[in-house]
Amino acid sequence: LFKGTHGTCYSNAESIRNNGFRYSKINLRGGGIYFWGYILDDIEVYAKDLAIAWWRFAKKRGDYANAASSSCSVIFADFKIDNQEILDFEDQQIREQFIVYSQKVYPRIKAINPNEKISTIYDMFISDVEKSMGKSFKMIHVKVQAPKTYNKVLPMDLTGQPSCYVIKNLDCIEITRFEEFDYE
Amino acid sequence: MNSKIILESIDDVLNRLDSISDEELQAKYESHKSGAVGRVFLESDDFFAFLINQYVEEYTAPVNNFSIEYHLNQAIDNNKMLYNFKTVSVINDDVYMLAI
Repeated sequence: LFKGTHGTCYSNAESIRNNGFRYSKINLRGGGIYFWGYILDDIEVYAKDLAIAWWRFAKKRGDYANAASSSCSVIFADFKIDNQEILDFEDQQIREQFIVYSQKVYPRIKAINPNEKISTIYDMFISDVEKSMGKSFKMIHVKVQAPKTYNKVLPMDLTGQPSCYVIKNLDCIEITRFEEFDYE
Repeated sequence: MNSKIILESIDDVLNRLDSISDEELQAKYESHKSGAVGRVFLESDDFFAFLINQYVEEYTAPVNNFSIEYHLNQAIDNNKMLYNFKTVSVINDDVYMLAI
């Protein structure tokens, strides 16, 4: 069972509680809903700490400046997804094929915003593969840097970069609980 | 975790990429930028909810228009009854409409 944590402010968490997640079009690795991903229950605290660190980072960046309450909330979710419905960028063959794809498209695309360019290349690749296969992926698995605000318990040489799940199909998200924290 | 079919599909994508002109590639980029709409859920229940629901935002995610054709064809192949439908191509933050 794939599981994940999502750190946000209390106001956003309340909106998600009432209305569900909204699809984010631009993000680090393409559009979707981002979670710190894990499988083993023993990893839950690690994933929760990453979500809190993300909230801290986003707050510092001013993402919650207009929120009624910017205090920290972490949303825990399960994902109803089969292995075949995942595009795993951490599979070495897929990563290498994606690098080849990027080598072919990146230099030829004119874009002003470098982050948007990277995000869009991920989405182009995913949609190209989906079109070729004739099916849609529900989830993308990709490793990303931990937020700079994350206080490491273990050295990165032991943990590697944390797993990130980018959920493409919102229907497979099953929220299991919300946790609020007093951090401001 | 990833099956042979995914790897073969990516090979297919990479091979086709060589025949795309710079202009076509740029146009493809622009259509995906800022979340080109077009991803319709594969599951038929969601798909038909999409067809009869005008609030497309809830049912879309970025892909391209080929996916729309694919999902429509798949629904028809599954013997679901689609009487009339129309597609209106849009880009970026616009919403395309499918209606029965």
